[in-house]
Amino acid sequence: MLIEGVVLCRVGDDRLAVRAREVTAFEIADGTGLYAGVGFDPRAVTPHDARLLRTAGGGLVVDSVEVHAEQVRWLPVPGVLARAWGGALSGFIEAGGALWPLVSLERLPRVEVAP
Amino acid sequence: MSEPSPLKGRHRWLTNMSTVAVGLGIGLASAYAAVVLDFPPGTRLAFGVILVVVSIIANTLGDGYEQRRLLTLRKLGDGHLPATPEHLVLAAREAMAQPDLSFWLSFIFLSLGALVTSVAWAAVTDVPALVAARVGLIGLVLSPLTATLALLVSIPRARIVLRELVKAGLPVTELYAGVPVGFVLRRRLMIFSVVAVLSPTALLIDLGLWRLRALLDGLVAAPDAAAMQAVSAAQQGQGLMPIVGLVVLMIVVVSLSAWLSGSILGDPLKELAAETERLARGEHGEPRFIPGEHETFAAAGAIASMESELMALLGRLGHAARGLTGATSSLSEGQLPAAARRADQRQSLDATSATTFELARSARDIAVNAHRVSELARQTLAAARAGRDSADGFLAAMGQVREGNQAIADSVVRLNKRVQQVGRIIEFINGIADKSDLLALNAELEGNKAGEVGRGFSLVAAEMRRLAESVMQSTREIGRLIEEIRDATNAAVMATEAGVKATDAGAALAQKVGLGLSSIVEFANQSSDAMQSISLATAQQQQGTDQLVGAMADILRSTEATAAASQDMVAAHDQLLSLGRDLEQTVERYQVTR
Repeated sequence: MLIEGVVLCRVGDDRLAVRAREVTAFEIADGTGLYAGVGFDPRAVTPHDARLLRTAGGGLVVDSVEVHAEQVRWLPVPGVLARAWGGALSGFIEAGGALWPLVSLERLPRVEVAP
Repeated sequence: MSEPSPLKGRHRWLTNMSTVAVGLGIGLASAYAAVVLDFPPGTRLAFGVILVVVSIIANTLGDGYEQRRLLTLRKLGDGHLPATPEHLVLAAREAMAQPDLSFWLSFIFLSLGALVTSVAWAAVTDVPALVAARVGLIGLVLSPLTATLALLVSIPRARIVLRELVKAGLPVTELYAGVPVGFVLRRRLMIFSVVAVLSPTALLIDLGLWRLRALLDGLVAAPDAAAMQAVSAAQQGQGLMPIVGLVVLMIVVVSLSAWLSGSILGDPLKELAAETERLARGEHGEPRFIPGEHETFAAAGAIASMESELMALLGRLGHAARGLTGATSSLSEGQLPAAARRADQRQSLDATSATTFELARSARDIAVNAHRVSELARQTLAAARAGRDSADGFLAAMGQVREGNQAIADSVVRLNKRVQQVGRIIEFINGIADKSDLLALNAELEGNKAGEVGRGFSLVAAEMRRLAESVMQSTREIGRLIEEIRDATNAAVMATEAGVKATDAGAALAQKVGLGLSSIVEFANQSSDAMQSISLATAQQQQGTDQLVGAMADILRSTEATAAASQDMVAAHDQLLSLGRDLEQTVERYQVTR
């Protein structure tokens, strides 16, 4: 199945993807969003040039972002993992010859981050 | 308590005899007046009183004046003045002048006294003027004789006082030198002779005339021949005794004066003769004082001076004779081995001549070496000066290098500041690029959300984003370059600072080197001057040794001549020795006693 309108994000050596429609704006990380580095460890240090993906309910901080305008193939989540991580993992996409976990920003667990 | 001075009271003792002489003269005049004058009745007492009063006044005045003229002698006798040679000479002058002073005082006061007595006598009595005038005449006639007598009796006492002054410490030579001498003996003798003859003669003439006048007055007044016969008999009846007595008295006085004058003149001459005989016998000693006046005093002084000079001359002559004899003996003894000494002298001169030649050769070598060393010292001085100039140039160059390093360091610091400013600009640009990237990213997001409609917008936004990323990439590259430049400039600053320090150290070292070279130049200059002096000295020494070689040759020649002359000297020394011994024996005959 093909989908379009994804944002490819890089956090360290890891990568993840979100749907473009879930992002309201890109901002410079100001410490208010959850940093996705080191497996979403709250103790991880946010780089100074990190990007905040602002959503209606909060935001996600990653190292760099790229809006992918082309259609990509979507791979659904295996059933054993359908409810893992609060159902935030929405599947995988294939872009640039690599698989990218597709994360639903709306379903990410809420993590309170100190301003 | 100190012992009284032997001069005490001598000032009064010295004038006593003149007072006695004056008294004798007054007595003689009174006796004559009593014999020859016809005192009117009642006038004799007045005459005596006036004579006594006038005599006392005249004697008091004269004695007071004499005592004032003997002031130094009186102070010496009373101990008010120390017996220094100066004071003793002054006292001697006073003592020697006293007889003459007595003469003139006696003459003046007797003459004036006679005149005053005659005038006063005529004034207070009715004595005839002729009689009173005869009193004055008698005084005037006897005053020279009395003054001469006062002079003659004062001289012996003055001589005694002079001897006592010599005993009191007055050197004889200073006495003779300190008392002025006048040559008046001829005039004195003439005056004495005139006085001795004229005074008695005048009195006898007066007496004769007075008696002749009395006889003529009696004869003229006689009325007849019988009266004249009576007057003549009365004249004869007066007798010759008063006249004879008066003549005898005059003879005694004149004889006494003559005896005194002869003694006064003869005694010093007798002592001078004895002193001269003593000198002739060769008995010499300290000069003796022979009292005398005027010519005799001068003669005694001359003999004393001659004796003093003769003593000194004999002393020097005896010393010279002994020295001459000793020297001649030594010389003669020295001449005995002269032949042997001349041979030794010839050998010594030969050896000395050879040594002198060797010395001359060494002197030439020393002069050459000294000149060479002097040249080396001069070259060393030039090299040291060049080194010092190089050190000064190096020091100046080090200063320039230091200034250059400092300028480089300042430039690098300014460059570093500019680089920092560029870094801040790059950061600003990077921030703008980052915001542009974010803005392009949002635009691309919005275009993507718009679907097909926003595709073109997304492409433009993506392109803008790539541009922004390119800018950011470039700014990062520039940032790295700036960091490298900053590191490089920091290293350059440190290097230039190290260079400045090294330059300072090098300048300090160059300054020390310059000071050291200046000292070397100074020492080299002194060494050069010293070596030039040595070179000049050795050149002069070389000339001197050359002259010495010539002189040695002359000495060798003159030695031969001296050998011949010394033979003649031996004979001459023998004769000189004989003469010296004769002279010594001659001098030894004089007995010098001190």
